[in-house]
Order: sequence, then structure tokens, then C-alpha cells
Amino acid sequence: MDLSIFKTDSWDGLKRDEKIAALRELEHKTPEEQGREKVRIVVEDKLLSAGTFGHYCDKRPCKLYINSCYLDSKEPLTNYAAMATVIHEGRHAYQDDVINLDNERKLIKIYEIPSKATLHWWIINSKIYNDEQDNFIFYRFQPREFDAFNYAHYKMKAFKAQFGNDVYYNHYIEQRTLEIESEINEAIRAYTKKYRQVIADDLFDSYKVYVRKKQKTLRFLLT
Amino acid sequence: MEEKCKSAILEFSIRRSRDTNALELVFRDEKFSEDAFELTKDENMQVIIAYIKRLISNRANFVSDMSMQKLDMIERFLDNIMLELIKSNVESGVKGGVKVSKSPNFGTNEVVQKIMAETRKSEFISRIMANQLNTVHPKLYKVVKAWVKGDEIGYNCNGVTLDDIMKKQKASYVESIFRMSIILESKSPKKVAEQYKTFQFLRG
Ligand SMILES: [Zn+2]
Repeated sequence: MDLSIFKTDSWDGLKRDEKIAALRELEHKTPEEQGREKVRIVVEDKLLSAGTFGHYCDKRPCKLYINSCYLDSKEPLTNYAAMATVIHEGRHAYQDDVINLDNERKLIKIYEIPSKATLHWWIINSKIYNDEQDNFIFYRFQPREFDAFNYAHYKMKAFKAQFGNDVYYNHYIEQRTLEIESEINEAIRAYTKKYRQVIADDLFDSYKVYVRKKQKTLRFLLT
Repeated sequence: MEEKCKSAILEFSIRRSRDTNALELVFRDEKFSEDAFELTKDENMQVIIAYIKRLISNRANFVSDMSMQKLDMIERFLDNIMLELIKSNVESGVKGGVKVSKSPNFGTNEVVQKIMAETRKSEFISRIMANQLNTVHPKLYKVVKAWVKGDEIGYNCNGVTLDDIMKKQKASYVESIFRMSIILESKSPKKVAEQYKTFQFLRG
């Protein structure tokens, strides 16, 4: 895929439909790298609140919602934030495929399998998830979000060869790096240096309650 | 693999053990009890279960061979095995086990209860946060002390207030104190406060 369409001077000249097409193409390029299935992108202007730029929905057929504010905004860096969002949400689709919650889509080759521990936390996190209404830091460092944010930033940084001569790209990376550093610092201050473990342990406590409930239901249904 | 699983699934049955009365999943010559999930010790089993679940979900192929009710039962049983598997693996070492030490200052039970009420977080998280209040920047001690007594006196660092943080990060008052602390802890709080204004905390 020719990514130059995302460069600030090209992006700003695109029509709404062309922007959507570009984001779709970006999403469909990633599954080939990951060995997961493609996800349909839906532009949404009511479902998502102002601070939520995207959402991955695992109800079949799974969808990737993207806030329409990306398409209409004249704010600088929107192009790169939109790319990062598509990559972030696509990563949730990958997590979903890997943890096998998927019953309908055919299993296709997943090129990179996470460690067993990571997989377990993702499964737990898929059952017990702190949604967008929660405190940002707590939401941000739950296992699946931690991974999706990390992955998107890593991917965005890797586009340096394509976008390095766009000052807005460099500014975007700088800004995101600062933001991420500050998020980690806040998490350490609020939840100690083991913040990821603290948050995961908390999810696990809720998960145990969930499992007990599920077992009860099972017994009820089978007796 | 798919064909193998397709024929395998027809060999599943669920019954009650005559000895223990526990539910058993029977597959060929093997019995898997509801109580002891020996089955789950095999790592490959996760993959096999996942395949079988996929096949079950494609019910149209199976209704002629098995009743829907039986498929439902098998699916629930496999779900449960997956949950047990994860649970046992996590309990046997993946969980880090963070020690929560009681602090002489802000980490009192009263503060823990107050955090639980205001953040809707668990006691576990609230106790950690209560202890962490002892580590915030000394300039915020009076803010914390006042909050413990029920007063929200606020704080402003170069145009960033606790209120701004609450709105921007959907945080409660006490949670916003931690962010203010890291602004104050930086080498140049003024500069960091300016940067903070540009942060978006986008979710997705
Ligand atoms: Zn996410």
C-alpha cells in the first residue's frame, strides 16, 4: 500500500470518502502481516463520545468503528491519530482471534502467538473489561489496552521512513511519546511500580467471581 | 485437523459419574470429570477445544447428527474447561501477588473506604491508592489532608487544575491528585503543565 496518502499535505486535500477508503486499505494491510482476518471499518458519529476515537466490536460480524471526527476535523495530526486508531483497533481484532473467542470466523494462520501468560491475561480481560467510562489510567493499563496502545505506537514509529520528512509526523511521535511517558508515571504514582500487575490482579479478582457464577449456571442447566 | 475434529465431536458425550455423581465429559476412552480437569493439563487441548468450539458454532452441520441440546451442553462444558484451565494456570504462578502494606498516614481504613466510594474501585485497588497517597508531592499534602476531612480545596499548577484533570481523564478527585503530583515532581512543572494541556487521552 502506498502510505503517502496519509501524509499531512495529501490527507488534508482528501474528500471524506477517500479518507475512509485509505483507512480501510490500512486496516486490510495489517491482517496480512498478522495472519488474522480483515475487519470491516464503520464510520460512526453517534456511538462514540468525543474522547473515544475508535472501538472494536467483537460481536459477529466484528466491526471496527471509527469516530467520524477524524474525517471532518481540520486539527493538525488528525491523520496520524486516525492511522494509530485503526492500528490499535485492528490489534484488538488480532487479540480476539488469538484468544479463540471467535466461533464463527475460520481460524487462519496467526503468525505471532503471544506468551501463555499474556494470553491468559487477555482472556481474563476480554471477560472483565474496564470500559471507556472508567478513569483513563486504569483503563489504559488493563492487559488488552496496554498491548493495543503499545502496538499502535510501535507501528507508528516504524513509519519513519515513509513520513519522516513530514514535520507533523515528527511532532505526532514526539507528542505521543511524552503522553505515554506521563501515563506510565501516573500509573506508578497511583498503583506502584507494579501497576500492570495491580490492575491485572484486580481484574482477576472479578474474573474469579465471574467463573463461579458461570459454574453455578452450568450446574443449574445440567441438573 | 478440521475433518478430524468433525468426527471427534460426534464421539463426545456427557453423563453423570456413577461413583461421584460429578458430571463427566466422555471422549473415546477418556473421561473428563467436572471436578478434576485433567484434560486441561495438556497444552494442546486448548487448541483442540478451540477447534471443536468453532465446529459446534457451525451448528447446521451437526443438527442431523446431534441434538441441539447436546451441542449446547458440550459447548458449555468446553467453555467451563477453558475457564478452569486459565484459572489454574493463573493461580499457579502467573499472578504476581502484590503486597499491600498498611501505612501510618493516609493508608487508613477510613481513607480506603472513601476511595472505594468515590472511585467505585475494589478494596484491593483502593488500599494501594490509599498507601500511594503517602508518596505524592509534599505540596499536595494539604490537598490530601483536606480531602480526607471532606473538603475539596483544589490545586492549580500553571493553569492546570484538579478539576481539569478530572474532566480530561474521567478521573475522580482523589485520582486526579496523582496526576497533579507527577506534574509537580517534574524538573519543570510549568513546562509539563503546558504539555499536559495538549494531551488528549484518547480511548479506543
Ligand atoms: Zn483499545
